[in-house]
Amino acid sequence: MIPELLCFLLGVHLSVMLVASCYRMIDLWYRIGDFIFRILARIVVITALNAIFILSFQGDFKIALISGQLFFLAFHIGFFWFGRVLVTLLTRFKSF
Amino acid sequence: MSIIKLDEVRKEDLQATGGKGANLGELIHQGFPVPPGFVVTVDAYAEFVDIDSLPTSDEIGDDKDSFCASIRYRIISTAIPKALEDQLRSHHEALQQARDEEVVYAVRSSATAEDLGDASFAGQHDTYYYVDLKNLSMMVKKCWASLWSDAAFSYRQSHGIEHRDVKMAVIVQEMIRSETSGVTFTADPVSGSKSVIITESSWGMGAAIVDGRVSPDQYIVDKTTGALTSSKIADKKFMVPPTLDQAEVSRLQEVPAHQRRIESLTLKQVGTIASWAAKSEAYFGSHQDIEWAFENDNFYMLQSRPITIMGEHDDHVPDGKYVLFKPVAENFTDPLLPLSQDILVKLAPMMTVIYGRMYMKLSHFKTMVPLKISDVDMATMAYLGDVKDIKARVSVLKLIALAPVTYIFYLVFGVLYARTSHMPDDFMDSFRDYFHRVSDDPTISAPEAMAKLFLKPRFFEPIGNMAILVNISASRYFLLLEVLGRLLRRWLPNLRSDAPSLLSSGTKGVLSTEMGREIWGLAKIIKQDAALSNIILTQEPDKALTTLQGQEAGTEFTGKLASFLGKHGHRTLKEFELNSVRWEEDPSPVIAMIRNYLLADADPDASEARVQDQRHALLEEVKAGLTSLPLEKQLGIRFKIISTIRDRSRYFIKLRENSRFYHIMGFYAVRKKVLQSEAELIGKGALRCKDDIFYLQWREVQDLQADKRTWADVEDLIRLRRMNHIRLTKMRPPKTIGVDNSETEAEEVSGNKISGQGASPGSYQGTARVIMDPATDAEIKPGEILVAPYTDPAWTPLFLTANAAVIEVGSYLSHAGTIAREYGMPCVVDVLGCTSRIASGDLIQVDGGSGTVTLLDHQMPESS
Repeated sequence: MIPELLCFLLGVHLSVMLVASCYRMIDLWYRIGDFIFRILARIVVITALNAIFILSFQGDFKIALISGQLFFLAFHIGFFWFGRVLVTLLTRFKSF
Repeated sequence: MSIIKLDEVRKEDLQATGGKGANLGELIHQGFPVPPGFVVTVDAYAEFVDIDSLPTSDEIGDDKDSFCASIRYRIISTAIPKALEDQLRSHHEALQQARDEEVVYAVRSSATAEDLGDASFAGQHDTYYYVDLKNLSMMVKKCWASLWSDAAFSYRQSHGIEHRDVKMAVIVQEMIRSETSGVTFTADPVSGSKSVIITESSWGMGAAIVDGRVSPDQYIVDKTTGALTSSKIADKKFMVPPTLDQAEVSRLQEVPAHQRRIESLTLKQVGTIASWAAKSEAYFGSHQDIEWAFENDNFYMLQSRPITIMGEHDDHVPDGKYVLFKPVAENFTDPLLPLSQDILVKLAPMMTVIYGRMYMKLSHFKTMVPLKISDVDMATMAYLGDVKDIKARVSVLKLIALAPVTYIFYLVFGVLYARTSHMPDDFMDSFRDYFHRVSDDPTISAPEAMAKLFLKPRFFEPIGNMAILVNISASRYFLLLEVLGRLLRRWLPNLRSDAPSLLSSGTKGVLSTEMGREIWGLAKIIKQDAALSNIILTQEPDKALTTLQGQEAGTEFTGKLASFLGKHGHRTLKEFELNSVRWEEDPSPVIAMIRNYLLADADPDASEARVQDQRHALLEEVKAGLTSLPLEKQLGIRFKIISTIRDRSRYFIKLRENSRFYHIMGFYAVRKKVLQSEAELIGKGALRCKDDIFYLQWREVQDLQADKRTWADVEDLIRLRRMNHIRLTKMRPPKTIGVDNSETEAEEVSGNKISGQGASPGSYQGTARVIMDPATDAEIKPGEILVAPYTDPAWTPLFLTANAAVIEVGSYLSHAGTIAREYGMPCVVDVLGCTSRIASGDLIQVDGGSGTVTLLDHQMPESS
């Protein structure tokens, strides 16, 4: 159970790194000419790292790893929408 | 009898003339210089409203607002009896006979329950100025009606006073066309000290002071010796002039620039006021609150009544344990105005406003920290961020419970932390465009702008547009500094204790430091031209700017200034306060800073170079010291680790400072929205004076916009909140509430040593110079020690002349600490009561390493 949990957490962490590296495209768009190669290199490296882990893990470990990756993606997207709804409700609740 | 002349009234007539009327009559009888007038007695009121027909408190139903409104309407809409009208006219004619110009009156309410010692009714009942005969009877009726204002009704209710038993007399007193006026207290109403007489004065009529619309000059006289012990000259921007056109909507006028910062009273006048105040106190046998005025240098006492609140604060303090939220408290000591509280704090769920300041609930900290720790230690840790001398044990249960919370934190902020780890210096410039988009959109209200710029997460926005999130992610500097300190102590135990802070300072690309350099650059342009220097040094800042704009020689300067304001125009003093006027709106403070640079005659470039050399030498010392450790000479791993952590902490300190630069810009956008709403409300007459909107809550502003309320509904509210704000401004907020930390506080001020927090290393002994406001008393001599309540960018030039700094509030990363480290001077922040305990001229020792200030030779406070 613990090894599967660790695989799940690793999957989450890899996903965090991948999402963050993709965001660099948006964050550095204003100087994309200067940074494009570094951004792409980072995305490639982290994607490759994700792929290596997926390919080298088998059975339950692989499922746990992929579950961790997908869980974080769902959490990240859901959190944005939840955050927006929360702030909207907060502003209404506080009688603005 | 319906009307009695004031000089015929005695204190026994309280039931006929009200407390205020009886006091004034008695004062005239005792020879006090009170302006002549007469009193419309309570009998006239009782007859007019048919007092026996009014219901008792028990008979008044739940709808008190409607009840009060109906009585007010009845009073205002009913004509005054002819007999009373004739009496008013004949008393006026009697006074008019002795005057060349038309007599106008101050018409004041004087209720029979007023000024009874335990209930002041201060500000509850109306007063009208500049009333001529034509309007006299209407203003008398308005005073009567003010007895039934919602606020006065609630006040009586809360003090258990039967409404029908309170009656209203009206004092009609010749108006003194004063060139200077003010209020005097024969004891300090804030601290409760009975050995002083405090006088507050300003130009023109006293209404501006009483309403709290101007910052008055303050003079403190020792009651025993009669000597002036302290005087503070304020920047008196507004006045109520001695003469006023009746058609004017606003009574306030701007004070001419040359008069704003000069003393409104001579030493002789201060003595005259103190002498009459002492006589009044002796006569009445209690501490007095006196209103007075000077007309043609003749002193007049307008009112004398007991001080009802002495050293008490009756604000609602919620149950629980709270600690002052330092990131805001360290930037300015004043309380937030109601609108700022409403907009800024309501959306921050962990904050509570007490005494106008932001507090955090201690239980939030205790939940988040996996330690078994006392409330006092927890409060110290939360306030100072200091873990030294704290007795705590790790709580295993809490640790287990916190593990999932920490992981959720990682899920929420993991991407944010990774996104901000390695970014170029200019990545947040995009926030400026976002700021303009929000500011320029007329459909966005102030709270919506607040939510958009600070809170609402946006999926496809660059991280540069999320200033507050960047600020949160930059808090990693704290952990890195701690690690750096521990490693240095472990590997180089003999290294100076301030090494981590010195090594982490001096980062390029910190916008607030660049701002200081740019102002210095502007000062250098001025310095090159004697004529331009003369303009800045001799003229008031606002006038100097106009003069420079009209000069060809000033073209380069004004061009550079415009460019500077384009970049830094959103900055100001007290930046968290929405009411603070930004440099873009009024660049005078920038001119004042340039002036201070010229006066300081110091070279910031040389100071920076000196500290840079110190930093470089320290780094070399670290490198050399580490080589004595095993394998360091061959591999150099330890030095690489130190260098990496140092680089990272410098990066995150820069990130924190720069993100702050941009979220201050966000506050300016919110301010712009508030000013838009204010202009609309003033345009339609729902507000009368600029800045009044900041004393309302947003819900009340919305009511005014939707015509659900009118000026009449909010006028009293604004006045009361303004007075409350002044009272809160004068009080020092406790660091904790509901936590018994008296021992800790006592330790901080034991003997001649005051403890604070070391913010910049080094030790220096010298003469103290207490400066409360850099705009008004910025004179500091080279080598002196700056003692100040707080600092922000406007204070920067003073750091060039001073050799050390002692600041009442602040932290390691506050403005004072940052600048002091940049200039390599010792600085101690968070020094409780330093501006009152230390006087200008005291010999003091500042130790920035241990965070202590020692009073070596204490002088008596000097008068200026």
